[in-house]
Amino acid sequence: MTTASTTTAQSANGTTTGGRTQQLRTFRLAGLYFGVPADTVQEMIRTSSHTRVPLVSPVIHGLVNLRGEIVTTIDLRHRLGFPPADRRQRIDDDDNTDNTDDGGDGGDGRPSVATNVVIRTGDTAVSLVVDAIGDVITVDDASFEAVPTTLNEQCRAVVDGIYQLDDELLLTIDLDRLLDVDAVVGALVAVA
Amino acid sequence: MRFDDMDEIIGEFVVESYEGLDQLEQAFVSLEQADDPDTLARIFRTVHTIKGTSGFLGFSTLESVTHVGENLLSRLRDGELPMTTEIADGLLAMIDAVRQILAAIAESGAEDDTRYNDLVATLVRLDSAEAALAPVHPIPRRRDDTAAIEDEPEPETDQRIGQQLLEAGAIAEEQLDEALAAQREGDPRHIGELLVAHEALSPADVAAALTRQERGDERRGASETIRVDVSLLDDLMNSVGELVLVRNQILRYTETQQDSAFAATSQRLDLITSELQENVMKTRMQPIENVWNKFPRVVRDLTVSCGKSARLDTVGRHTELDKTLVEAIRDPLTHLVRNSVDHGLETTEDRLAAGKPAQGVVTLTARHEGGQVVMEISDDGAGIDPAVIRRTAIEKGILSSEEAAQRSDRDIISLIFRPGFSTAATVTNMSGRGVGLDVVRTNIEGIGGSVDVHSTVGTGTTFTVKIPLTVAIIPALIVTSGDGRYAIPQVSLIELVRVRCDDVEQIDGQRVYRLRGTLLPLIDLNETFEAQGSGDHPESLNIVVVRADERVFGLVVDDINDTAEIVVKPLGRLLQHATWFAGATIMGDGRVALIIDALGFAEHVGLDRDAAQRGRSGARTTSAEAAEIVATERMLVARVGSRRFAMPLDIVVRLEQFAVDKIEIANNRSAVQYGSEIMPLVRLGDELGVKHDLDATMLPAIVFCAAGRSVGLLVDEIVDIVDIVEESSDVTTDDHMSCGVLGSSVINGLITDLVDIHKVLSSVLPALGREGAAA
Repeated sequence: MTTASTTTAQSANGTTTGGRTQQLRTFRLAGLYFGVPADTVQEMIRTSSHTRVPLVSPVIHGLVNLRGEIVTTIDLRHRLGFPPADRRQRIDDDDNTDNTDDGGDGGDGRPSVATNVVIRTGDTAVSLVVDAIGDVITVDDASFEAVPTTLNEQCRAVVDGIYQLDDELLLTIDLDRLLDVDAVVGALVAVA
Repeated sequence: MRFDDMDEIIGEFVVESYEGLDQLEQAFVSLEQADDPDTLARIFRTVHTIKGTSGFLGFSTLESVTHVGENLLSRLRDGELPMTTEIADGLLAMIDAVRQILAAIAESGAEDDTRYNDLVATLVRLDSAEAALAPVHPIPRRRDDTAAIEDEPEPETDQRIGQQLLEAGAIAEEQLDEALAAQREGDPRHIGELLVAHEALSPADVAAALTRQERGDERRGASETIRVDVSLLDDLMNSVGELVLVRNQILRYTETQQDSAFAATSQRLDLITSELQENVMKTRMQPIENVWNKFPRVVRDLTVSCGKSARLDTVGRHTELDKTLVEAIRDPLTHLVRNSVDHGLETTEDRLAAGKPAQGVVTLTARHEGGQVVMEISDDGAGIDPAVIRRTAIEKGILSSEEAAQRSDRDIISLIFRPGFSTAATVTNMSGRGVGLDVVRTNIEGIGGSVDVHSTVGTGTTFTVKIPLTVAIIPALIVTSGDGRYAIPQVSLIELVRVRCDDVEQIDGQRVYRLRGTLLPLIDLNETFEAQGSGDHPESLNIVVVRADERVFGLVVDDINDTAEIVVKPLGRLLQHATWFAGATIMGDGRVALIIDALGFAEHVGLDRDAAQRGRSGARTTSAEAAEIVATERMLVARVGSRRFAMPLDIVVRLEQFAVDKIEIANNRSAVQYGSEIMPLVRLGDELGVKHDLDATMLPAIVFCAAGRSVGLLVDEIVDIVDIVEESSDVTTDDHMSCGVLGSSVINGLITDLVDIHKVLSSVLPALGREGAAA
């Protein structure tokens, strides 16, 4: 949850030997620790405004202008079947400006700042709205385990497996499955 | 490395050969109509170049095919053979073969295994067999076998010839000066001749210099244009798109600034950006003739195969449009041209019988008009008979006989664009008109264009295609709805109206506004997009009247902001299914706005094409059996007292509301001042023996029109407009039913009587009653 924990993870992996390793970009969502392959992540951005897209799946958070490119943002909590975030939880620990920004704001009506992980697949970018961003860590395939059955169904459908870190579990997301059009659009049918 | 070089050479060869071939096909067809030695020479040169290069690159099949073609061409050029249809066929087949081989080379870098032995044999036979025949039009020889010197360019270029010879070391400076001096003194001879005469050099040297000069000219010509990869132009266009957005942002920011220097700078930025945008767009422009070039061949092949005679005329071949559009329009246009020849033109016998010239004419025109390219494909054929279409439409159950009778001929003819309208049966009935035209329309609308048809029986048919100049940057109207801004492309817009809320008829949530006598269905953008409106109820509504092919509807928006040039950006693959949006754009403040796709939107909200159509075409009276009405109609449901009554919506002209105290009673009849006329009113309940509500202060009236007169039918409430499909209608006709009711049906779960409008109104409009009875 804090920078300290990710550092621990990194040092833990530094000592691991054998097996293939890979780098993951980590982030937090609904109290869980997730990772996606670091080389698929283009950048992390904070957006204070997005354009709502009417009549589509609520999984689609909206559209943002990323330096002239229009990027679809995905409400990852919704996609993974978690309840909407209390905005206070979204505040990233290592960003003070947002703390002050949201500091005196207990109610609604102010635009919330969304933390985005921008994923580039092929020549299109898609952005995931997460609670908070973690570090890039190196994990060893030796510590890879299958998906625990305790996860909710929507989550299990897109989580590849878990890495056992020193003090917690890291869930890795299969981006192809996460961004599968039918699954995202299908959510509309399920909700509607 | 060397392999890469080779690839590059082959690639260039393929591109250049294709370009040459494109010009060839047209040249061939024109040659068939009138011999022209220059055209023939051009064809020969192109084939010769392909042959030479293919030999050099080791494409043996290509070489052998072009070789026999070249032989044949050289004899045509030299006037030894006449141009015949058979030879033209053979040569066109050769061009097709060359294209196929080139396609294989472009794909794999090598020829495929296809051999063209038959073709080669045919060409050889043509070359030898017909040599004995006397030419129909002897072709003058293009070039005499005189010395090269006499073919020299005009004197003004002689300076350069002299210079060339000088540089080549063939002559000394004094000799040149001498020759030039002689020329200045009035010697009419060319400089080359002078030099030869002065024994400064041999004729062969002059010829060599001339060749060099020619090549130099070509090279100079080539340096004026360069080949650019289209993807580079695409990138450039994208960058300019970004620049336009940044410009828009800066202009927006400028409005808030007082600094005059800054304002002047941004004004310059504005100008330069517009200029740049225009010029980059120009780089992507291609003349429409790039598409048209192959049509003479299409027409020729078709006429040969269906035994007709036709000529293709073109007007405005240099009209330019964006390259992507040129590509996109290719197939639909080809289809329309084929359609005109195949189905539009009559056979030669029929034409002669109709007193027309034997040769039919298909005319292609293109011109710029109001930021669009307008193209017309017309034929002077038999035209489309609306009566035949009407019959087919009724047979196919697309229209009821009433509807078919009501629709104008133009509306009826437009049915040929309807998907599924053309089936085998239709083809026989109406000589195939309409085959695949729905696809044509879909394709053209896909690039933001439209297609329309006009036809006069006996004189011909014209298809009019309108497409935007470019698709990347389009003019659009920006509107606000709830928390969002949306862009509506200008091409979909008809007009903007601001109306008082009182003028909008509220029919159980379904709102309609009568716009100059026609009913305009209204769709609230806030409601559709589940947006939170401002909450307060304004006194007036902003309506954007939008057209989506035949459907016309009004979009109710919170605010109409501005028009803007917007850069269309595609939505990601996750939003591909959202067909009600055509893409998105970035606004001046950097935020994203969605672009509404009128067609997709209309389909999404389930706006029925025919209903909107009817709304537009206004009301006409009909006489119909109750069951027939219910089976096909959209009905207006009204309430009087506790009973519900339905009537076909399409005979309703407008919905009005009159204050009770405005209604005057004269001669025991109610009437109301309505515009400039006095409109008689009929209380529906009185006619049918049903009690009206007592305490109403405003009475809704349904206005009908007959014989140019309006008549109002007073009811207690206008309840709904419902679509009635055949299965759900169960009309029971009761003999004891009061006069004026045709029967009753269950609509939305409630018993509803179907009003016999003609009966009910007959007391005030006897003429209408008679009309109804007669029909």
